[in-house]
Amino acid sequence: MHSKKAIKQYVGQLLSLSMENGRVNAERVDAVLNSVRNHATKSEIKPILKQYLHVIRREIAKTEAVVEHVGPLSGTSLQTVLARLSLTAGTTVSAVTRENPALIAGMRVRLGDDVYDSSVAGRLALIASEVN
Amino acid sequence: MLSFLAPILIATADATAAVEAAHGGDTGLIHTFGIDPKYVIMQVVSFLILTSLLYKFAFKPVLATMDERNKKIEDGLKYTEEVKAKLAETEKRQTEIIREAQVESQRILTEARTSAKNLYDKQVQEAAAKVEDMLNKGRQANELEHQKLLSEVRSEIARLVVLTSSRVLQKTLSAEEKSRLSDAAAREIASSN
Repeated sequence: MHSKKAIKQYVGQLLSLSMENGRVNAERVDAVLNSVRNHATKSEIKPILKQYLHVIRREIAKTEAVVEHVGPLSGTSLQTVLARLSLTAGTTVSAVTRENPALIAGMRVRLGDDVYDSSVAGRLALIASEVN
Repeated sequence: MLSFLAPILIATADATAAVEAAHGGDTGLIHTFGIDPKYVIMQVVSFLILTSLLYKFAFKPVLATMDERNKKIEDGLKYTEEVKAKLAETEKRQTEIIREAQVESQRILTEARTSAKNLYDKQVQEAAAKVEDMLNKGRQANELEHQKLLSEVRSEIARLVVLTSSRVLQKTLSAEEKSRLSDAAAREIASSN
């Protein structure tokens, strides 16, 4: 199982075992890690865990939105955004909020590979790119 | 060597004897003129000997020499005629060759002039095309440089405008306005596709 293809297939199986209701489950992840620790050889553990970490992060990013904002953010606004993202993703999306003064004003949301930018900095950057 | 004279001497003696026999009665007359047949015979023999010697050693070689000279002269004249004919033919051929050479040289000269003119025209056209191409490339390079400069100026102006606007907005926006803008942004994201 030293080939990258074999490791990816094995990690894909581990990922499916780590999911519950379309989300990554922490208890299942613990169980999977224990199983890997007990059954994989020393030379296999490092590439497997590296690939496993990568796919787990990717799956978490699909259901965990990073919300960047400036100034106080009301709970209503956050819930409105999460409801929309959950509807789009087809699963319940949680949020991690971060204060980012570089945005000047407004909000920027990242979910997986999608970015929703409604910030003043984003608008200004868009205007600058259109001028160019 | 003089054996061929023997029959002549014999014939002369016989003739003298016959004359003496025929004119036996006229011996007085012969004696009157002092003619002695013996001397006559001797003179005839001497004459014949002299004639033979002259014929053998003078006349015959002279005739041979003259014949040889005549033959040489004839050969010389014949050779001269042949040389004249050959010379005329050579001159004719030379004239023909010169004429052909002149025609050929004229043709070569014409071709050379035509080729030179064509080459000149071609080089002029190529030079004109190169000049035109260089001018076009220069114009295009100038245009590109102009566009690049304008683009850089626009980019710099946009960057400065964005930077200035960002700093102004960061200083002037209050917390309440920022909160209101965040709510508006949330509504915008929620209503987006």
